[in-house]
Amino acid sequence: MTVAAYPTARRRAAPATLRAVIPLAPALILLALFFLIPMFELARMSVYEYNHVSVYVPRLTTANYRAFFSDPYYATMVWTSLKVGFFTTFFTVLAGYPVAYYLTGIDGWERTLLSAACLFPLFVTILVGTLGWYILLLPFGLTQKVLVAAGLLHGPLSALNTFTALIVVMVYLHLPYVILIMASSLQGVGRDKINAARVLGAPPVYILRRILVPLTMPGIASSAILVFALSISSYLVPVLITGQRLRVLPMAIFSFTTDILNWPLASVLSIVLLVIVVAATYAFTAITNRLTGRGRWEMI
Amino acid sequence: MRGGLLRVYAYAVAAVMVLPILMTLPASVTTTAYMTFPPVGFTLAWFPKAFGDGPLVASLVRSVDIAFVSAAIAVAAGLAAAFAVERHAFRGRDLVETLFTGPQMVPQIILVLGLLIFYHSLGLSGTLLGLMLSHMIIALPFAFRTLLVSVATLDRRLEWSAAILGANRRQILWRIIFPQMKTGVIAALIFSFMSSFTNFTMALFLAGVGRTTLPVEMFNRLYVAGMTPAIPAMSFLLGLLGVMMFIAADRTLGVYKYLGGGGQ
Amino acid sequence: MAMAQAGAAAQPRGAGLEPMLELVGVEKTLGKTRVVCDLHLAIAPGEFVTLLGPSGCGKSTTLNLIAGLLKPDAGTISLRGHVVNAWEPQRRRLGMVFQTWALFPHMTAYENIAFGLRLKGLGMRDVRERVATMLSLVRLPGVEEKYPSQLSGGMQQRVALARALATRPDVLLLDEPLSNLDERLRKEMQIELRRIHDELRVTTIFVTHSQEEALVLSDRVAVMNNGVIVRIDTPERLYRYPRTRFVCTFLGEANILEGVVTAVDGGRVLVDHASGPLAVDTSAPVRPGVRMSLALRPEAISIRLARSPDPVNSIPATIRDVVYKGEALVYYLTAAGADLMALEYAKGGAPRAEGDQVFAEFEASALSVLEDA
Repeated sequence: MTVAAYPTARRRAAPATLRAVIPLAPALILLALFFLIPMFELARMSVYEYNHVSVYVPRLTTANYRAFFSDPYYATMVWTSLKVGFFTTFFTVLAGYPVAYYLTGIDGWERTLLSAACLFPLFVTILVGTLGWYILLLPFGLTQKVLVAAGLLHGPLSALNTFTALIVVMVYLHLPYVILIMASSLQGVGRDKINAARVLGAPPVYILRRILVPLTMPGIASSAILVFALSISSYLVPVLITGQRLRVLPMAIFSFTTDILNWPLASVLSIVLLVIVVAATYAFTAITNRLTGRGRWEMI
Repeated sequence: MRGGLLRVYAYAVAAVMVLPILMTLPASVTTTAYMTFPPVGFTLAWFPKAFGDGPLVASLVRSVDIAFVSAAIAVAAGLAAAFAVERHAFRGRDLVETLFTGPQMVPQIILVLGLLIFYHSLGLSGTLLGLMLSHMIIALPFAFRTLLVSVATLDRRLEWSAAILGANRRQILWRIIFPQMKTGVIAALIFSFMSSFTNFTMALFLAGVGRTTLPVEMFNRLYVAGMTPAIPAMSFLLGLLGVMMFIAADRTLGVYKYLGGGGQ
Repeated sequence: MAMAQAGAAAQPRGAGLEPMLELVGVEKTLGKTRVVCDLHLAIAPGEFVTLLGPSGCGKSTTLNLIAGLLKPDAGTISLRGHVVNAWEPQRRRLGMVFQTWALFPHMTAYENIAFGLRLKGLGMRDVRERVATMLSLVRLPGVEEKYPSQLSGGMQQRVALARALATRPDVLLLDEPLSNLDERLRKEMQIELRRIHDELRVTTIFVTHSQEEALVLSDRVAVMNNGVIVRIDTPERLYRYPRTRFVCTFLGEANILEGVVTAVDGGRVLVDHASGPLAVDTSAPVRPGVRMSLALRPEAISIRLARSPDPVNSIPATIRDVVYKGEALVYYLTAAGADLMALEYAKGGAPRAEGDQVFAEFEASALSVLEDA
């Protein structure tokens, strides 16, 4: 990852004197205070006792975890969250890959303007994009209400539509991440290799399958992991678009934290979410590495 | 021809990406006092009214303040750290680098709960300072990574030449190193600012009552109460601002260079 | 221009057969620049033709047009008599080696070479046989299971060549494939390429900016500048009779002497030059009074301390500088009205020194007439 334009930059770095490392201290202190300690506090809170008067009591207990694992309500929630994560990731990567490919072939104003459009959700608050979709879906929401009232539509169907709407908005919001990462990854492959394959007689789909995808697999993996982590921890979009009809972990975390004030249980849910993200990261990395035999060869 | 199909697809996606902001425009010109689509009538009155909305403007100002301060702290700390990490080898350097990616890797909704608990014991709950610091910690990994790239591409031979010619450390820093870092620092500042300004999750949990940031204020209007077409009006303006900032940033700095990494 | 373009003076090897590759009136504009202008080129089967020229002359673009990676704005490109303008690269049965070699890093050398063969539907046994043949052709047996990152630059280059030749293409295209190699390796590969070409007799188009490579490898060289082929001819004829100032100075070193014709006697012309009269052998139709530019190669000059008994051309000069090049000595001379550069192969004996007064002598046939005075 280190971009060393001159070979002296990294390998021959001077051995550290204490004085030289002092500039590192402020950042490390900030990280310790506002990252490490909060994470520790979170873990600790998950094993504290819940008390609806004082929110929590600093006595160790596994009651919260037991409550989580024994209640099917939470299992459903985890399942819904996973579905949201996987569907979003799948469609976002699928949709974003060709766009990134096209972007690597152009430059100048065309590239800037097209990028401005495709990366749009990144540089405005997610509320702007979500609000836009909310407005777009309003008539549909209205239509749904009318149909249900008229007895022409029943529960499950509207729930299905709601899920679809959610995924659409999620894909929309996360597409920029895929495009950014894949554009960089595709750039690294280089036009020459693709042209070589063309002259050797490979049709476009073959090139995609046997050249592009294997060589951009690290990019696919990292963008997929990023989108997965972001999408299953999203609060705003499920709340706005499905209006609480779909229950995902972040919504429960929010309501337990601010409404019900059961911080221990909220912490448990957060830890569970974290474990899911970490597990998915490892699993995905391992799978993609195995698929392309990455340990055996290096990019040239 | 295949090339043509790809271009059509790319432009179709671009059109869809722009669609939502285009939706906020018609929603903000309705004459009704509530948000409805399609709009009823036509008026531009909601745009100035958005700026007359006290709490909304206050949250806007607050967002800007927080963004400035948190970006400044993140870039300052990140800059110092980038130098220390890039220029010196020490045991645990890789561990430190991994540590820096932490706040980015952990989903915000998890980190914010930890911060909430921590602040509670410190008495920082609901304070502006607490919120600012939480925005800062989110921006720090990104600022660090950007500046690391910047430091790594410095031409050390210029520094050595200056030293041979008799410059002391401070002079080298100010007159050789910082001019080269200008672009990287500006990029880090801009992206840190934007990350803070657009952040939603942190303020959702940590902001005190009546002291929210713009995204949360807009959300409360939409989801809880107080929704008017001023909200889509403000959205549209924010969208416009964002686009202009992006175009400016890309033409001068090159967005892909700074945001792309992490692929290979 | 028309005379230069047609290359009429140079008959390609295998003349009389239908050209394997033909470009007629090809144009290409990239951005705002006309990179290739009204290009005409005909290449016979089995020929080795080099496109030689400075950066930006359009040689790589021409190669990409032939490969089908770019489409021409005007004109036709024909392979084996068929007009292939609209054909995708996949269809054209070509082999190509890129400057970066473009090996697939996630495939072994075997899989790289087999890539094109598998696409043609060859069975596993045939593929294995062909890959082995190719690897022994490029003198690289035993690297089948290695990945490109495990191979040296020279080896990667050979694998790239093997990959391009594996499918038995009609035409082999080489885009500066030796540029990324160091000096010694480059010279080795030049000889290898020549050997492989002699063995396979594949029609080959080679792009380079190195005039040495062009002269060593080619049956014919097309010298390009600003999108046009300035001259196309055999290396010998191009070197000896450059005919234009550009070709003359691009291919090797040259002294350029200018003067006015004083007398014409059959095939011999007398030209008045600042340093004295020059005798030139030429069949060009000239009359006294005409201005003439002449090219003189440094190696054609002999340095003598005393004037030869009956010299054809002998110019008195002072040695300004002597440069030792190992196999040769380069003398920089100052004569009346001209600075000359002379090259002599070191055959022992004391070299002349700076400040010596000498005579620069050369044959009448050593002077070559330049057409664009």
